[in-house]
Amino acid sequence: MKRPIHFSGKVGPISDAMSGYSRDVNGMMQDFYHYMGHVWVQNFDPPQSADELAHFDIGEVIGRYRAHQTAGKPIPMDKGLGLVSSYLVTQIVASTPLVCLLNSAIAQEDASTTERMARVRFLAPQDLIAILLKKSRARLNTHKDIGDQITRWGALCPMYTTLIYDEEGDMGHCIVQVGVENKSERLIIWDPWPLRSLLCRENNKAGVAAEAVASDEPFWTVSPAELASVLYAIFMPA
Amino acid sequence: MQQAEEYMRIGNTKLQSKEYPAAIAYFDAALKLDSSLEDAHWGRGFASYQLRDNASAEPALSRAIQLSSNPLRKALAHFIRCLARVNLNDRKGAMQDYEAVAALDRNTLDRLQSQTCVGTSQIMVLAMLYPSQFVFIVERLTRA
Repeated sequence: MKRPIHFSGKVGPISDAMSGYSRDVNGMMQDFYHYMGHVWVQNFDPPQSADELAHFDIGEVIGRYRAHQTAGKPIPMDKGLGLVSSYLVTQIVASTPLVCLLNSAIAQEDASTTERMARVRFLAPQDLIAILLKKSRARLNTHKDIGDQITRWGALCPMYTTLIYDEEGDMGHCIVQVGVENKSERLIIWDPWPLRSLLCRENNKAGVAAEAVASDEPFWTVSPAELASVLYAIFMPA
Repeated sequence: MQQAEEYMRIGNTKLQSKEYPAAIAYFDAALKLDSSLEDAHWGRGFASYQLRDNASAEPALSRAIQLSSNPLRKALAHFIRCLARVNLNDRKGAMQDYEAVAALDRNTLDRLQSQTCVGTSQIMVLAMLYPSQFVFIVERLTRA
């Protein structure tokens, strides 16, 4: 691996309403999430098969988390999770096997550093985008309610955890690939970053200029070429 | 007028010592005597925001923005109003403030970016994509 990239790192002050969860719940989940990624998956064998994931008891992790806290041991909170930890934790929460599709043009990992991931494929950026376009069989109208359309189309409009990185520093970001716009074929993303997306022109060095979708939810559109330039990895159901 | 200024002075002292309800009372007293006091609207808005009374903070800061001619002070008022609007779930209004801050002062924009960080984005993504599992974990974590 050339250098480790950490996704969605340092925790800042939390806006209650923007997250939808109270400050306490957010803080607690951040703590637990960092424990899972930085401590638990480093010391135990995480479930990876469909059977293991379906029967995995998260209570076991919670018990060890509480013991960790009681013992006064630290939880690293200053960095987000690396790719492998992100994948393993997402898979546990999803309770279903995922495949990690890595952009071979910018991924810092190689076969040796991804060996803990049960399912990983290195793909050229254009092939990654082609898969996204093919999987999203529905096309969405950005002038209508996106949430309603996602609900209506269901499996024809799958959404994926998407890691992005714009070649600056060691910090990446995490968004959701939501679908494809019906006329322009631009990709629709959901960015949890409040206010302006990190893929807006002023917030990245890669030259991506996300355009806002008129919505109360943080939906944005980017061109396939723009997303290809910052797309690091996608976690898709296997 | 002198009385209004005296109320303002005490209000600012209370603001600095984080006695927010008292600060609001003094700013209100000053505004009763002179409703064009920009500082009193700003102080009232800021103190209300600190008390998490976003609904009161929003109009007070709007008035401060209307009255202010100083770009930096205007940027600060937009900054706090943006946070208040975020907490009021007024995303469009918050975006307008964000754009105003960006146009007025880059340093304030940087502060705004860091203040509004929702925390680890992967948690937000997990909550969006896997809501039932996320709630299940939260329930297990909060169980005594």
